[in-house]
Amino acid sequence: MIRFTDVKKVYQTGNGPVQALADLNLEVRRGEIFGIIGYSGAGKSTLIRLINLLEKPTEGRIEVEGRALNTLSEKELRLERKKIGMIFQHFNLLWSRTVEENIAFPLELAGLPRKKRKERVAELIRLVGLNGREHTYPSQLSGGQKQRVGIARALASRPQVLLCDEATSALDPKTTDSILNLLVEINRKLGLTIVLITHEMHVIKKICTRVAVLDKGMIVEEGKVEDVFNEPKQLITREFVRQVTQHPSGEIPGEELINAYPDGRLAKFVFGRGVSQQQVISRLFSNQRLSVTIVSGMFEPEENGAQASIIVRAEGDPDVFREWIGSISELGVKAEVIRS
Amino acid sequence: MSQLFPNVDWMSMWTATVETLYMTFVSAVFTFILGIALGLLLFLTASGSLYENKWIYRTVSSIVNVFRSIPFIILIILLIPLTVLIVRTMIGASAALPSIIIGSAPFYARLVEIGLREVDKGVIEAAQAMGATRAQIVWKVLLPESLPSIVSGMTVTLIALISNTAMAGVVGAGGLGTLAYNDGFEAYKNDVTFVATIIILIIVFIIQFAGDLITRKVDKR
Ligand SMILES: Nc1ncnc2c1ncn2[C@@H]1O[C@H](COP(=O)(O)OP(=O)(O)OP(=O)(O)O)[C@@H](O)[C@H]1O
Ligand SMILES: [Mg+2]
Repeated sequence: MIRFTDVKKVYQTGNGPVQALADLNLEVRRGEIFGIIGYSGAGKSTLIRLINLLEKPTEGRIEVEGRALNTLSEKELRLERKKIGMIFQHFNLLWSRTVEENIAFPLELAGLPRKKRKERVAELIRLVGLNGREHTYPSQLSGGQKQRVGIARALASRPQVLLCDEATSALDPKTTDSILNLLVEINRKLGLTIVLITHEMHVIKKICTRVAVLDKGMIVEEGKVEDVFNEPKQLITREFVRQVTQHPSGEIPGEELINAYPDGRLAKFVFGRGVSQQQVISRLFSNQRLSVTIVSGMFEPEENGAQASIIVRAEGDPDVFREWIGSISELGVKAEVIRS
Repeated sequence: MSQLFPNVDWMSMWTATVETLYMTFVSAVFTFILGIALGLLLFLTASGSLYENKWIYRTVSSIVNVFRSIPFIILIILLIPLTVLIVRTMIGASAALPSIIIGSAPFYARLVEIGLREVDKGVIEAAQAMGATRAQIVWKVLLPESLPSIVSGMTVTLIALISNTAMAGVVGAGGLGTLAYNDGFEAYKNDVTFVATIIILIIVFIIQFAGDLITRKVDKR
């Protein structure tokens, strides 16, 4: 469906050339949701913009449906672009147009008559769930609603591919989920191939079938999402995987935890390399008057300085609990009572 | 009324007002068209833009800068030959039009250019990704998205333009400027100058009010 063969992209800047992508090879199959993850500056936007030729490759070949876009004339390219929808981090809607007029924009560009446009727009409004918002201006919409307009607009000319450039990065977690659900829905309903880039692993985990990890302009790991999750090979991939398997640096938001465990006392212990894990664990469980269970535990790997963080739930007398906390912090452990 | 302003001939005051409005209206129309055309040209030929062209940009930009910097009263004198060529006379309301337009259009062109620059690059890119032609980007994206700046810029330009019609009046263009200067100032009839000034102020206020109103109406940001 989409194939990159030995693609290289170099930007010429005032301070000399900047290599954004190096010898990139990639294949996206029809009907899949393909995720590309990488840190800021890895070249993600460059990669996705090469697909619809918003950026020209310095070297190499990029084919969409077997056609190499960079060999087309300007006119042919415009026609091909209509088959590739795109949504953006900052939505890029026309603020001077209503929701309806924004969605009709690509149809207007294609010269569709007014009546046909109206029908198609009504369909799309239903698809993305914006009923009743037709005549609203973008400035009066929430971020999630704006992205729905963006999606409807991108789908208007019935593309075969949808490119998503950090489409959920400006949204809160809940809205992100609803947009991701919508993407899955249109992927199933319309058989649309989706390429999305992100720096958030949970986006990949939630909806992608395959993933490529991009680091400094190169794909360092690629495969089915579950394989990459179960057996991340590169350090950078492990870092991304950790984003979802654990909360960043052992941080479970207090409120979330209190909701998850409505009764019992909660405490968190953090300790580094200098502390004996064995001693800590044995003291955690040696108090006969407390019933202790581990709620969550996290051990950073050696290369990050071996930090451990454990959250436990304890049942028992408040004085015993306090004493027990004290006995553990004696070992050089940072102890924090989440609920006493 | 006649006690308060003993020297004011209301008939000629009315004629002068109409002349001023005529000069304002005609030069506003030309300034608007010329300003938008030049503003677009500047924006589109700037480096990194849709029709990037270093030479056109530099040439137009220099011309605009030169005409924007010349004091209006000197511009009138410099343009006398051109005026005579176009309107075949150097006095009267129509004779003032070329210099008023040439004095205002470059100013407005810069405001239009600035307004166009404020259009979100992402939106232009989105249009390109949808397969828009460059002409479609100009008509369907750039102009509608910068409409508030185009209107508010025109309001500012119009007010400067009216002060120019008054200045042109001093050198014989007619209108309220001529009345205030010849009949008022030179003949020591201060009430005439006073009334002419008030009328000019009223026109300015109306334009400012209407301009703000339209700007607010088209601004959906
Ligand atoms: N138009 C440009 N001109 C010059 N250099 C550029 C341009 N666009 C991107 N780059 C450079 O190319 C590299 C990759 O940029 P790119 O925008 O693709 O990264 P990204 O992975 O999308 O990052 P982010 O997550 O911050 O959006 C960076 O070093 C960037 O500075
Ligand atoms: Mg980016």
